[in-house]
Amino acid sequence: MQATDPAYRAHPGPGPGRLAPARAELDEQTLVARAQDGDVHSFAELARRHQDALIRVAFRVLGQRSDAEDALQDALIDAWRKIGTFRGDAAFSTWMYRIVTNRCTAVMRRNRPTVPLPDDDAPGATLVAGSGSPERAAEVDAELAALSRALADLPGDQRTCWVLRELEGLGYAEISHITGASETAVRGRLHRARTALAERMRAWR
Amino acid sequence: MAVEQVEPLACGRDAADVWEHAEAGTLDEHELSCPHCRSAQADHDRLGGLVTRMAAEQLRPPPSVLEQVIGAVVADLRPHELLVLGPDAWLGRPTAEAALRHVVDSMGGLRARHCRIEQRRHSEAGPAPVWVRMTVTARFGVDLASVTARVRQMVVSAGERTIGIPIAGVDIHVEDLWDDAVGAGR
Repeated sequence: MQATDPAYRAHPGPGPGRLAPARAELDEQTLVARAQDGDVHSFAELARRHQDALIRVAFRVLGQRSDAEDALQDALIDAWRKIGTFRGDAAFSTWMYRIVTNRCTAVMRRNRPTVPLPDDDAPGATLVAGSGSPERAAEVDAELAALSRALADLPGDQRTCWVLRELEGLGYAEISHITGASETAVRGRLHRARTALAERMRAWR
Repeated sequence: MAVEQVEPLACGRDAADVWEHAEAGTLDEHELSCPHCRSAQADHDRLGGLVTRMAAEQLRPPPSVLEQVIGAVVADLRPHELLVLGPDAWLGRPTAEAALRHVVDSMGGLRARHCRIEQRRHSEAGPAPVWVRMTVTARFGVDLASVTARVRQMVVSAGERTIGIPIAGVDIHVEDLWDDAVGAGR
């Protein structure tokens, strides 16, 4: 919140006997500043706020829950070690996405010789089940599982762009910043991913 | 870098543009009637609902992930970051900084961001005085001059009472303002 925000209104000064705000009430910039000073609790709160988005990316990019959890864990430890280098030029979420994406790329390189078809890609223990009739739910699950398998067969760079765009809703510029690829490259990878997935889903039906 | 480019459709249109237009609901007359563009739209429509459902699925990591991260982070804390309290007595610098931030947070209308404590020299007689540099964010409308004077007073007093180290000076930098009315406090 900058002082130039037009929505400002006058507010009374500090009152006596105020309790300190709980960490969960603190704004992100304050938590980042404290984490940069070495405050573990503030870092833990940041990790708590971002972990769902990061595991989503890691799981969809890597296809395996155990790999995704390892990537998330390593990414958060990386984030702690590097947080002093975060300058606020990009959003903190962008910075975190970049770290987890780098981790995922490293895992994909390591796993390259054997690209497993994920057995655990159906909604399961860590997924909150959808609603609707059991028949429709089973059909949706089967369709989603087919999409997950098709996604797993894409080249890693295409998969990463597709996940960041379609599942996280990020723009080309932000994806370019996260992946280090040009916006033209991001656009091309995303399009190839989309057409390949559409092709696979056509065959599935 | 030709491989990074999107191949044009047989009608000459950029296939990625047609997809984006279908997504945004901004297809033009040509795109609505051309068979090549219609085929690209059919691909978009086929995936659309399914992708929305995949995006809506909630994933949560098990609590053990964060627990292990915090364990590793605590183990990673640099042991030399200690303030000398006296002979054979030290206090972790981050702990002392957290205590001073808490003092500021408790005042209302202010939140501490950075807090750095520097102990410049050692003393034989007792803990060497420290210098505190603090950045804070303030609620819009507080009297910054009087409130920063009070912060200085409270921090100096907390130094003596809470952390047991005399504070030689406090630099305060108000780097941001927030307004509760627009929910910017978080």
